Amino acid sequence: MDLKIAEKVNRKLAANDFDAIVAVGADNFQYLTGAPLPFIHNATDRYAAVFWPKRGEPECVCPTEWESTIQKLGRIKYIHSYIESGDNVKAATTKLKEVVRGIRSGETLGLDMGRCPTVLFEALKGSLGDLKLQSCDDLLNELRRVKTPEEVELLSDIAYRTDHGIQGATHHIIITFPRSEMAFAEEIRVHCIERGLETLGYHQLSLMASGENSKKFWPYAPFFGIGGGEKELKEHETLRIEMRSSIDGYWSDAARMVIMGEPSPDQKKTYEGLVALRTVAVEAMKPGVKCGEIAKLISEEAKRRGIELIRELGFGHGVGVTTHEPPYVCESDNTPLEPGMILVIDPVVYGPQKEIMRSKDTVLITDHGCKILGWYKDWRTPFIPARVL
Amino acid sequence: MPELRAKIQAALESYDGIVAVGSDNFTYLTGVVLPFANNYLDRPALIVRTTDGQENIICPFDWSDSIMQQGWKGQIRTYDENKNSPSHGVIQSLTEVLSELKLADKKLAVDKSRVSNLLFEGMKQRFPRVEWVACDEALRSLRIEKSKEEVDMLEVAAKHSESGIISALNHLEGTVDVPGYAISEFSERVRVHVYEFGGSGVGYLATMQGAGGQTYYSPPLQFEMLRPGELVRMDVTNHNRGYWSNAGRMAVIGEPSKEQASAYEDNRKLKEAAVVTLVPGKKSNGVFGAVVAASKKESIKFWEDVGVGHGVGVSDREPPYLDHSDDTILKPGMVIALDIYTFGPRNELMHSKDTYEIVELGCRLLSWYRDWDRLYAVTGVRATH
Repeated sequence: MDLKIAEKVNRKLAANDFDAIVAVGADNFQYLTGAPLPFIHNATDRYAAVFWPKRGEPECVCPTEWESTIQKLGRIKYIHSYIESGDNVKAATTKLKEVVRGIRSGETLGLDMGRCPTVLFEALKGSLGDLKLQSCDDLLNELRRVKTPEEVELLSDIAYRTDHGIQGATHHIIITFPRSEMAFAEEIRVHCIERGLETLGYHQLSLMASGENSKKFWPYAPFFGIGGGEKELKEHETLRIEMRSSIDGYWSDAARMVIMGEPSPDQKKTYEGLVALRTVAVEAMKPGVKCGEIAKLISEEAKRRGIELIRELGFGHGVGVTTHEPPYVCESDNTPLEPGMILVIDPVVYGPQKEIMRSKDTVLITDHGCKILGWYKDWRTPFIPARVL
Repeated sequence: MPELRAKIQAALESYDGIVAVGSDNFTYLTGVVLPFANNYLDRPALIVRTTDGQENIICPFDWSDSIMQQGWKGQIRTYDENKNSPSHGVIQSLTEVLSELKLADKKLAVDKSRVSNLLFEGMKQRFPRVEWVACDEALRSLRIEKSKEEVDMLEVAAKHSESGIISALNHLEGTVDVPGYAISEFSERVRVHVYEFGGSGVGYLATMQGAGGQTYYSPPLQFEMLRPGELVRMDVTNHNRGYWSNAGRMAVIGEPSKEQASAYEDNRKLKEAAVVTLVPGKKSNGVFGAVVAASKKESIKFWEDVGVGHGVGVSDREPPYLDHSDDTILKPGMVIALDIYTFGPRNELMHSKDTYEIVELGCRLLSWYRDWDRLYAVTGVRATH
């Protein structure tokens, strides 16, 4: 699917002071090239960069090994690969210098300083003569945080498939037929694959945490993303399910709650609290409202209801070519909401037994408000599994 | 890992302290694995370590429980992502830590190949009296030669890869004549079996067949089935408590054609030429040169530009690099993933990656499980019970 990114970048650059930008961050590279490379985040000694001029075609630089993949999957026509060596900084810088040759002395080149490793920045600075090198992190953030209609369609589809995958797996839970957390975590991944989601990426994770384990964010560390071990699901426990999944390099970031039986009054109260926090956020989210204001509303609602809210993580974030990106629903983020933004609303609370409870909702900002994307089930109530086979 | 801790302590004595940001360096220095840290580009975790061994981790709030579960004995300071942006939160926490450790006017090492320029500029502004020096070379030297404990970890990781791939292939037997085995399902089975055999996490995971295998990476079409007659490349990276394996194997669905078998044999020949050069004292580019020479002698084309292998450790690809330029001298304790790409009959990229430890008299294969000298053929017939 053509996500219409190129047109958007060109429009943005035309209205900006940069004569060109260079992006080296794994996320920015994927966004600009359209090539989903599931290994790129961990390739810390290998540099890939996109050069996008105000005038002319974008080009990219990458290690030889990746060239044919980027050509096949991405939208950039001109790819310049370098043969790797023990000094990839030098190899990448030399190639980039050739690519930016069209930018004239004294012109301004944007660089994603928030991503660019310091050694690469220093090498670039030393080799680009008197080009003005300035941060273009804000420009890239602005580009990425408002999605094109095509990106909205894709992210909406991924959110829906993920929720459907989670639901598919939860229907296999039988309260009186105990199975392990690990087995169910696997069920989630399988059901997501069955619905066409990809199994790629270092953090393609499913997590299932119940009982004592649900008191931790990452039970069974360092065994991340596999749902842990032998602990069986038990009646009356709360169960937190998390799943991150992708299609074509775009992500969902999901979490849902299951109660193993009829909820106790305390469990019910906590879940209703989560719903109330979601409601207060969704009712307030509309263009012009600042992220920080939404965060404050969530925080105040929690206080008013006596909900034990975990505040240190903020209460949500954007999602796109990464699972966690700006804008952030936190008190310090004054970004005004705009139509086309997609956010994951994620207030995290403690349950009656100190369980960590969250029910993440993916929300699209529309012209007049917002819309929850991807609900396969109505999550105003938790999922309660069948009792018997 | 006491041997490793002592080695680190001795190597970093020339600095008053170190601030490491790269998740690989973080794991190396702390012994702690963070959950998918490289994928959270706006949420760095840092380790601050003084010469006298005081250690302080700075990280997002939700990672602290995983750090404690892994037996971390040092301090943890989490930053608040609600009151601050993550980058401000990190700087704020770093300010507190450096003040407490009395490091705010000392000589501090930083991994400049990992820290973003934005964060580093923020650190320099906040701590104008700190003398920041790059420690990337020091860390490279430390990491490149593994301790006995590290080699043990890497051997287990390599075996997890093998178990994952072989077990998934075994599940494939008997299903070929019954359409219904998608590539994505196969990949997932590799993942599951890595976990079932004790792996801590799977990183890169890809299965390519036929023309899809002509590029380094190609995602399967949605619900694409494995097809009889195709060469299949199975790539997986996985870690054992932070120590990585980087594996790739080949199989064919059904009996191999003469051309497929011959292409696989060509790959084996080049590997053989490389293995005899994996000895202490040989240079990394000498191993590469041996493959080039064998390629010429045997008239076997290989993908020369990408080299013939690399180290593995707390990352799945690290120095030394077996390419044209790296003149690192091989030494006992280095662990190498030997990776030679040749070409199949339809120009498919073929490799059969093995992991070796360099030992006193040569090398030791860590990734043993089965004899990979012959192409794995999925020929099982479906039986009904």
